[in-house]
Amino acid sequence: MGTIISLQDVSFNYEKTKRKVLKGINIDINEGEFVVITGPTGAGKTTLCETLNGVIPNFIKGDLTGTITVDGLNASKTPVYQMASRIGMVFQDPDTQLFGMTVEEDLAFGPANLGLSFEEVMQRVERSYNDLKIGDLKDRKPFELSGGQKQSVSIGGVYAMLPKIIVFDEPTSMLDPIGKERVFSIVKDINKQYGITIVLVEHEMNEIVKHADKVIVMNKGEVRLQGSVEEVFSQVETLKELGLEIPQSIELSTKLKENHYIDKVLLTPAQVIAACNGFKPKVQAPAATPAVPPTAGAGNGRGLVHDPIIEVENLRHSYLGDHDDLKGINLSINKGEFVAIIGQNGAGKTTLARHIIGLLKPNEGAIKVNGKPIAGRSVAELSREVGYVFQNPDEQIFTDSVEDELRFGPRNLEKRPEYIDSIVDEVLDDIGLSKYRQVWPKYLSKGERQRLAMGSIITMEPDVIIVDEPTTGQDWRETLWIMDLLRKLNQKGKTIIIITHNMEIVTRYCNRVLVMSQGEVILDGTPKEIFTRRDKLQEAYLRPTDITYIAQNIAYMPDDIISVDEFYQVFREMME
Amino acid sequence: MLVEYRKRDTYLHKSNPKVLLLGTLIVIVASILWTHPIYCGVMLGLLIILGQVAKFPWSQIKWFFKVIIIPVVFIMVIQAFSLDTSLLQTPYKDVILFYLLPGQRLGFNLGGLLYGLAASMKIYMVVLAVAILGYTVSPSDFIQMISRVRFASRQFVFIFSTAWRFIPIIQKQITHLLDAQKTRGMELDKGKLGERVRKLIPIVTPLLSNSLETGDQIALSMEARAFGAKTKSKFIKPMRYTLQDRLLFYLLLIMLALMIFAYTQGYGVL
Repeated sequence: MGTIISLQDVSFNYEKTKRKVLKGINIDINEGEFVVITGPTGAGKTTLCETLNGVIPNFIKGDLTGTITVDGLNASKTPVYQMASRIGMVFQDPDTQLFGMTVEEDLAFGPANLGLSFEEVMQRVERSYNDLKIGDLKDRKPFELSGGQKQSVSIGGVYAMLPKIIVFDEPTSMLDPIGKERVFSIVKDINKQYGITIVLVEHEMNEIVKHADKVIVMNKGEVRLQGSVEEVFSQVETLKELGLEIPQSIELSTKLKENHYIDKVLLTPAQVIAACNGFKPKVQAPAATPAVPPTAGAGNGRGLVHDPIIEVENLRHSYLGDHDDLKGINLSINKGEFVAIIGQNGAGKTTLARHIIGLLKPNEGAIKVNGKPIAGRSVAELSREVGYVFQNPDEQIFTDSVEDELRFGPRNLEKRPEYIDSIVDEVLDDIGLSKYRQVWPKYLSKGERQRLAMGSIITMEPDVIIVDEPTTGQDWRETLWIMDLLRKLNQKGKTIIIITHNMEIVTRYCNRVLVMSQGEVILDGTPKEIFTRRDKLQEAYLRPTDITYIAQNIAYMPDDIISVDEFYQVFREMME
Repeated sequence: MLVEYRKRDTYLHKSNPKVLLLGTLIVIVASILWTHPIYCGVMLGLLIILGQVAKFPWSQIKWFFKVIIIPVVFIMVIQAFSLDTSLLQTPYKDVILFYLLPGQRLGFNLGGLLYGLAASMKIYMVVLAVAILGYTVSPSDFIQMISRVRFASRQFVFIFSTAWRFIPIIQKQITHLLDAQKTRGMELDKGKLGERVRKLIPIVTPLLSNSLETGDQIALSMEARAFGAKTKSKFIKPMRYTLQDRLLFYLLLIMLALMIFAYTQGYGVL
């Protein structure tokens, strides 16, 4: 198969800045390949994608040097609309890519722009329905769909233009696990079944390993690594140095290889399971050890004494009145706990959290914070005791500078000016933004904005901090940064509640997990307890981390392994 | 949007949007011309019947009618006290029901009251007609209808549809920003009106910058789907236009002409 995309010595800087965002990029992509581009935030991945269809420099201006050839055309000298029928692009946020009032109109948008007749456009729309299996969404309004469905429709809209290449810029970063699965399955199908060349920008390494023919790792505008999945992921040290996540199957197999149990690094959980099942243990598995991450308290099974800070009693809520979105939740959260609430979108996680801060009023039931009922208290009043960090930092940052943002909360709480000065200094250090004190928050990276949003709550010194999806859309380095910050707060005695879809951070940081499904808490326990309940997890459409999955599929390993180190330790003990 | 479009199997939902739009236009013209409460009352009654036929969700609009009841009563009272009744033709124009001030000053005129009543009914007429139109014609059909108009460019149609679609997104952003303010200790519901309005100022900057970013992203996505192509779009969805729709359309046109003619002859005027 011939080369369909070729970049030769490509460099770029945005208009009015001198900083090179791309530096001497050389890449060749063959027709029909599935190529994944990864790298930390700010590596230049999105910029690179935007050069491929000519958006840079035709739409977004700057100095572009080098040659970009896409399907025989010089991308930087061809109008974007002309490139559109050869190379399609799917972006992160599905809301800004849907233009029709119905799904059908949306799919027709691109082909209609090409000047095709009504019949031709409808043929292409039908083809999108069939090939992408989205015919069930035909008469729906795009803005009423779930995130995964919306993104499937935006892919359908691009697919209807019959491009030879589709570029995906982090298409699943805003989706829940079911949505991600739907999108990845579509992307895989259009590559394998219909032969479309795929260029996918992605942070989630587990997905890369499963799908890619070729991986390109970027950092600071340069290509650091490129090659097959095996070639790239054998460079574990370089990937770690760049702050990238190493899939647990690779991390484990690297350890096994280093210790001469196996002779090569294995990429997928299936490969690791097959290799490990070939061993015969000399001793039986040791009794399960509690792997509870350290927290502020000490005492019962989760390492805490019974000292409730939040009590939820028979909480019912209905948005539309036709069904209950929360179905009689009973719950008690102790001081100093680090709790994760997990479950699919629509399970009731955010609805529950918004009740605790008073943003929603229950139809039935009661909530107490620090022993006092919250009924009749305003959100502002409650904010002294419970802090809430929203999912999207851009929807909670108001002011013109980082410092003002941190002052906003304590000032509303009428704290003394000297106190505000000292807490702002302290929190600026804690969130690592001291050097950006006077900077407009919009100039910060997404990770830094997320930290600022958290800092703006920390300066109010609430006893409980609820963070709604703290790591969504962040790279692995930033994810760990944010979670370490929350751990520090927890160690200082704060009660932390996070809502998340990331099972690995749940096992790394949380000492208690609440699994929600259809408005109910269906499981409540430590990560080890939760991830052994496969039946209940399936009911909530959840999967454990890869390492737990691997252990659960090796006959002689215990079911409740939740970290690579723990797996390796148990494995070694059994083999020696 | 007062009442959102809902797909229903009613006569009005099945009618061609052009017919419904013309019907709404007739109500608007009537509300401009008529000043007689009986004419307005008949039209209002007719709209209520049409609402019933379309299975209109009255409960969703009840709050609005309740909210405007105070200004409506205010209009009637003001008209009764202050209207220059010499321009009216009704025999009630000189009937004074009572005087507010001693010395027969500031009389409460029955003619003025009836005029005010008609004015109030006209508000309900227009609101109800537009609400029924929005409830029975899907936004998508509206846009298709506009795109058929010769002078409506594709850009114009797109601006119209995008604005329509992004209203809920902007509303959601405003709600999130207000919620975020509350969680940062801001008491939005306390204080005098001026103070409360002042508290909303901080959301303007993020709302604007978020909207601009959204706009940029939309433009980028459109560009990537060939929106700037020089070729003219030939994609026009066929729209159902039955013989019955055609007949009704011409009947409504005749009615409109008759209504205007009758007005010139003094019908519908108080």
